[in-house]
Amino acid sequence: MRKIIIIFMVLIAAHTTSVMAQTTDTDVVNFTAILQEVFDITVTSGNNQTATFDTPTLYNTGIDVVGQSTITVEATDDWDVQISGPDFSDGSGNSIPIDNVGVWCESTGNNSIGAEVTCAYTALATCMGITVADQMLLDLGTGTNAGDAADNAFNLNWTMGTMNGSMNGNSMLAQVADGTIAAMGTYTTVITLTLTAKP
Amino acid sequence: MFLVVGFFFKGFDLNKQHFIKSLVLLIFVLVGNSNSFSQDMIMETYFSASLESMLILNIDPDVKVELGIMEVGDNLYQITKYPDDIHFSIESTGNWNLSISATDKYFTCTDDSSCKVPVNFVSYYIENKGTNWDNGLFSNIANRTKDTVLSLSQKKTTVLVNGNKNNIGGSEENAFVLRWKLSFEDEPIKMEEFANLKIKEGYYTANFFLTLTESESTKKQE
Repeated sequence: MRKIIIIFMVLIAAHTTSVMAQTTDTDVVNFTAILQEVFDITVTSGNNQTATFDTPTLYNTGIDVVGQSTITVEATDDWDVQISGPDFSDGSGNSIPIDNVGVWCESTGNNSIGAEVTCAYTALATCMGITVADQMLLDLGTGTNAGDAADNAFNLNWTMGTMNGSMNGNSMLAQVADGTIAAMGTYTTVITLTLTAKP
Repeated sequence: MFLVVGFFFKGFDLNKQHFIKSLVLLIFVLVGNSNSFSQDMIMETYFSASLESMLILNIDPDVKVELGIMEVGDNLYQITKYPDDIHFSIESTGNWNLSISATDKYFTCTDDSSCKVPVNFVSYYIENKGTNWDNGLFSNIANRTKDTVLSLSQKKTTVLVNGNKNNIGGSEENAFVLRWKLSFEDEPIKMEEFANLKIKEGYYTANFFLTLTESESTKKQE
């Protein structure tokens, strides 16, 4: 009987040992990386521009260099930038047609105009006259124009009253003379740059 | 939202939960993607234009009316120097008027201040050389000397005003020549007056004002 008990104890002990040896468990940590598409445009400098007309020459031939805005685009995919703005207003019912403002582009980042990016307006002589409706300013060139601010950095050069490119063909003084611009004073507008992901 | 989803997960077995988690995740990713496609990123640049008034008369500041007279016989004079034409232009952002007046009643002899000739012995007219028309009231400029001459006088005489159209413009639009004419040439009475003055021969000068002023407000043109 004692032997039987001993044998039984040994068996139980052995079984317990084997049970202890099998008590490992595994679990997983689910790790999900979500890469959302990012499209960001920033005017890093020059988001306030002022043009002052106070001499006959400026009224007749315009201001070649009003100023410069620098912009960057950070995008995980291809993009374009369109530009538009309402007519200037003096707050008293008088206005200046917005196409008296012109803009032309320069690339300062790794993505170059003529390669990854296209811009049809790269010189004062061929600059774009701003309109109320959106116009394409920067577009996808060859390959991809996705990239960070170091890739997509641009200068926007502003001009006013110079009658270049698609700008208003009449001088500021001619528009004052024909009553299009009905009063002297300070006029303001807001020019909008719209960054859009390419489909 | 996540709490609600977590609540529904209770009671499902592991595979089902995993499937639904994946489905929900997929939906979130898709929603996120569709948002990024539909949203445009906008930046604004503020632009102001300041238009300051301008009213400029471009003319040689030293200009004056000068004439030379020589007595060639008894009451017989010869003009040895006619007054020079005077070119001037106007640059203005508003409509303008131009008037002319002599600074004195007389031309004075340059070497003898007691020797004088009345200024009305000289008349003037303004010839338009610019692109702003001066052909009557319905033009840009109404020119009172268009078909006549006016005698120079101390009284300020308005000569050019805006017509039915604006006369705003630069020096290309508003370019003129002020031309002088000796009045007695066509007027026997003045010729007689001139003879009665018994003037000395010599060079005579007179100064004059051209006064440019802004006129009425700008008109919208058709």
